[in-house]
Amino acid sequence: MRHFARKSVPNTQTEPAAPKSVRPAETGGRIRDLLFFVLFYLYLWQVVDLRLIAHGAGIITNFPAFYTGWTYFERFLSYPGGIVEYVAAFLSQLFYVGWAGPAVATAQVWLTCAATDYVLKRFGLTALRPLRFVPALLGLATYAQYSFHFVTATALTVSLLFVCLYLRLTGTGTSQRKGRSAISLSVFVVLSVILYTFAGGAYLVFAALVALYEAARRRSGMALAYLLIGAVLLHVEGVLIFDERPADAYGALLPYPWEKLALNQAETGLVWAYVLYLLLPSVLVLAMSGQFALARLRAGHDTAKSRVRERWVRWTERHRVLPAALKWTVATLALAAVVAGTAVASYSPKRKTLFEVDYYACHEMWPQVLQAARGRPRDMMVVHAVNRALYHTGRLPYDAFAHPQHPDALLQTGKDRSLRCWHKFDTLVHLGLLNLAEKNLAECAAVFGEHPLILERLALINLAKDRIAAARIYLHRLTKTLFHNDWARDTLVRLDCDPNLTEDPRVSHLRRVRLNTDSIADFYVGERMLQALLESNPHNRMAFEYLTTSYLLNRQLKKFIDNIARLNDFEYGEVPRIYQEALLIYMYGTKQPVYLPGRTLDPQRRRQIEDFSRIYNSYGRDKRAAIPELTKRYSDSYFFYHIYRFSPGTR
Amino acid sequence: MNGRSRHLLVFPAIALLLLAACGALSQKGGSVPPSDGCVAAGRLATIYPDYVNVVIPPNIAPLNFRIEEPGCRYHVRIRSEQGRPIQISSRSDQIRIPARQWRALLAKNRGGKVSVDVYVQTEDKESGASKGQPLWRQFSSFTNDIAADDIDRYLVYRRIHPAHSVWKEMGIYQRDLSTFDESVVLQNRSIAGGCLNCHTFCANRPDVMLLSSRSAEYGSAAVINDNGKIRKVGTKFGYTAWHPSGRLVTYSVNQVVMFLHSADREVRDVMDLDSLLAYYVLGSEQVRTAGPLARKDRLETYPSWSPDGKHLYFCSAARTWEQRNFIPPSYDQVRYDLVRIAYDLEKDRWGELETVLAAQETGKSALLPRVSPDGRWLLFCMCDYGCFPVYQKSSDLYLIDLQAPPERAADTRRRLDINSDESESWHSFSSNSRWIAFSSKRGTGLFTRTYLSHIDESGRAAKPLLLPQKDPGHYDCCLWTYSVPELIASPVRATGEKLARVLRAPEAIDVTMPITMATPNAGPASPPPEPYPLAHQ
Repeated sequence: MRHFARKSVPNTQTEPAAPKSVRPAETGGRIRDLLFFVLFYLYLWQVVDLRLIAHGAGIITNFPAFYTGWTYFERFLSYPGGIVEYVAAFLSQLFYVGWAGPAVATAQVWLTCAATDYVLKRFGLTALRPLRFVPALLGLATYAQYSFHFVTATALTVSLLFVCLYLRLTGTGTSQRKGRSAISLSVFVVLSVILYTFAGGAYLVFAALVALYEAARRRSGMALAYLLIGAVLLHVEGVLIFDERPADAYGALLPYPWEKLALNQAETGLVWAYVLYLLLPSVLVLAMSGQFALARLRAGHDTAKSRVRERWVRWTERHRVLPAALKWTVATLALAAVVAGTAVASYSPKRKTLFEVDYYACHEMWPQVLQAARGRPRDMMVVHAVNRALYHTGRLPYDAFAHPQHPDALLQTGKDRSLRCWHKFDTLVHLGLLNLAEKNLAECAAVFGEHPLILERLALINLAKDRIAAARIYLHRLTKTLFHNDWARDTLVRLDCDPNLTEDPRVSHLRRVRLNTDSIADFYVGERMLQALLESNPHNRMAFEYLTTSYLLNRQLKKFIDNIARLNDFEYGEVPRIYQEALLIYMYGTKQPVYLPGRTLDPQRRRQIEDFSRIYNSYGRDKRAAIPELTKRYSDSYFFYHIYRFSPGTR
Repeated sequence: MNGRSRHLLVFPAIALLLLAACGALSQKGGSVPPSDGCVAAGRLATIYPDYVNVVIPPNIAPLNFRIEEPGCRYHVRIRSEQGRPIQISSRSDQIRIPARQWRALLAKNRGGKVSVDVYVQTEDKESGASKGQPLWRQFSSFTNDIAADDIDRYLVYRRIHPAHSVWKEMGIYQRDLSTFDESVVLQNRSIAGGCLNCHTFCANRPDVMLLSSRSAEYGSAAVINDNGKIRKVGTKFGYTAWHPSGRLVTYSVNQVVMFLHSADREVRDVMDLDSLLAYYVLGSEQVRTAGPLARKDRLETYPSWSPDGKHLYFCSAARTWEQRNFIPPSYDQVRYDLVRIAYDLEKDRWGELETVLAAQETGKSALLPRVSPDGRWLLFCMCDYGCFPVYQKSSDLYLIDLQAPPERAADTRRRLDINSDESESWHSFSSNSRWIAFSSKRGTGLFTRTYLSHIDESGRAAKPLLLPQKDPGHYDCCLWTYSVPELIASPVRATGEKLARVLRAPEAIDVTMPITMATPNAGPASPPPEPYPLAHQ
């Protein structure tokens, strides 16, 4: 033990000066580190694109909102960890800017790595210094999986920086003086109070590491005292002063806040956050245990083990004599391999697709939605967004079955209380189901906080509902954001000139299409709501197309036929292709004609249904056998969907 | 301290001085309008909040406001008969009144009047001044009355986002009305994000209070503070009312269902599919009910005691449906009568039910009765239907004079002038019966704010004033709703930590309801309810 203590925690005063020959290696190491973090930054910027995480829109639910002003800041002072949470919330806003977010994330990861490195060095575990890259790899994996744990990671970074500060303050000459224990203790208590106030539960890492450090310095009493003081401090400050319940007092900012458990919303990548927190304490415990065991071995006279040890020493010495350049190259290549492996293994292009579709849908970039959707076409939220994109590009009655479909994806009412993917509530707004959208978005705001994307939508809904004063409150709130205030400011200015915003085309449109017949029974019933919308405004094209598409998806052809006469309320140049196919299926199936005043069906469609039937019958009406040939010719048709109840999605 | 350390101290000192100078400049930066040469605007300045022609509690915090007139400098003079006027000059349109001077002025002029002169400096070409030439405009002065009666100094309310069925943050807060200090009574994060509601005090006394909570982790319970003795009662309390003696607390047990309107202006609605009243007797650790409080054919809710403790007022409606799991189609026909029942505390004996105000007579649903501490006034709200006025745009405050002969009491009912087009509800009296605090959605139709109004001897309510905030723009972007404002004479001294600890603790007073629900679903439906005898019969 004596040997371990002497070796592992060197006295800085007696530590021999580094030989000059080490300097090129150090320089090389710094270049490697620099290269590593530059590549890290570029990967986050160019490959991951942190703007998608910032947007999140209900997929990531823990991305913080940030508002300027004292009132907003004040609330963060009321609980431990609030300050770090506030700062992290501010820094997180930079994720909205393409290059700035990666810079912030890289800086945070770099600080963590640097602090880890410093701690390892101070513990004398120089052989384990490559572990300093592990926090960066964890960060890489987290961002590559499109999850967000920046706030809790920042708390850990602050905690590690405080560990470094403690080691710096107590490990220098002052610690050699008489009464150094008292000084160390004082430093510990002062740093503890500050850190716990700032970083909440991340303080636990600090307490554990400095206790380990003192144990390594053969001051077990101090180590125990630190652990005891840490526990008491958490209780006194967290429970008695901040009025937190014990679970929150000890767990604030740790990666398991009660909100997630209560809402059963485990965030993706949470495991990486756990590993990040446990990394250094567990490494140090293992290393200390290993060294302790080694010391005991040495104390014995086990010759066989001594031989093993000698071989190990010789091996390490041989490696020391490797040329520095070769050593650097090998280490760099090894690091590059690990980084590349992590990046490839953790990168989730499908998840990225979900984020891209969500981002484009929220920004009403319809061609981009259709383009991005190809990466993950069968996800319900993607199908939902694709349908809306098709509607807005005028292609829903033509191309709906050129994409994968599911009856439940068309209209997401939020009855299941699933508050994720907020673009699905935009569909409700655009249809005119303002109350349904308002209810869902208000719940999003209550659960996920005052996220600007939610507030924008609530402002719009209130404008459309002629609740101008309430809309103004949301708009004023939005003016206090860093990156979502343009529309709010512009709208407030326009409200001063046009108090009811009668000139605003978007608001006017919503007022025209909004549901105006109240019902409490139909609130979540999509079909009846769509019918009510059409009764309120027979020219609500979106309601019509969603209603007919809903009937087609559910193969309710009779209801489809009952509503097809509404076609003349809209300016379709011809009967849309999918409607023609459905009409033909109905007419062929029931042997009954359907009269469409002023409309004719394309003879080409008749030929197609006959050809479809021919192929189908040629396989003895064996659905499975007919699939390959029918897919080749008719995969984007309603003929195919009606038979097979799915659309292969040719586009 | 060495020289270097002393140098380090100089920098913060300089920074502080600069900050102070900036602060002084921002308030005093503008020149004072000349005594002559101001152009009369000929009208009142538009200010927010609307503190024009209101009655002010003599112990209220400064009524900071914003002048909604374009200008580059603003000057306000607040004057009264006694004391030095308060002069505020500012480059900002936000007028923040110095608290000490404000308090002194109100104290010297209690029962008198306070006038406010507003000046705005503009570079107004239309007014004849040359471009760039500043011009002071003097707006018409307005005068507010300073009441002789204090308002209870503390206000306790629940703060929550406009929620439907899920929430994250909510809390019970208390506000010192003489300052802008707001402190936490209990936040729901202390009970794992549960719901906190129905904070109730005995006769405006915070040392006897009850607070209900619902939590997935800690269950439904209420915490009772009985003169500093804090205990948890392991049952769900609905709307609650303390008997003035503090020896029992009456509460409703509600089978509440929320439903949603597809096209109404207000999305949310609530109804009780079933309800009854029960009471918890402190010391006996028993919950009891009585026949008239739990009729099978009626819905009973919103208990409220008369200050002498001899009558319990509550609301009661006919329950005309059998199913307790579905919203009846006639939900918008459910209207509550205002009734009362005599009670003998010593004998624990209930009298006969009396109708104070019949829904059949008013065509409206009478809810939330509250009797003034002097026993003179019965304040309640009426809306078109149902039991939850805060979701009813039609909900207005009404007053009944209880000193009128019983047969004429209902006739004294009058709608208060302080109502708006939006919902008014959740009202409470101050302990001297001269002030009420109530919730109103006026202005926005969505966010509930707290208003204060003076009630004079004749029951006339003065124009209400919005609860003042330090930042005059506080409500501009405030997404919180403030509900159930309860006035109390002194602050709640039980700490949030203590209350939370009791709520979290597994130990609770175990009480058993004498019946499972007001209307056990056994047998055929009850016959149509008979009307109660009117109070004067």
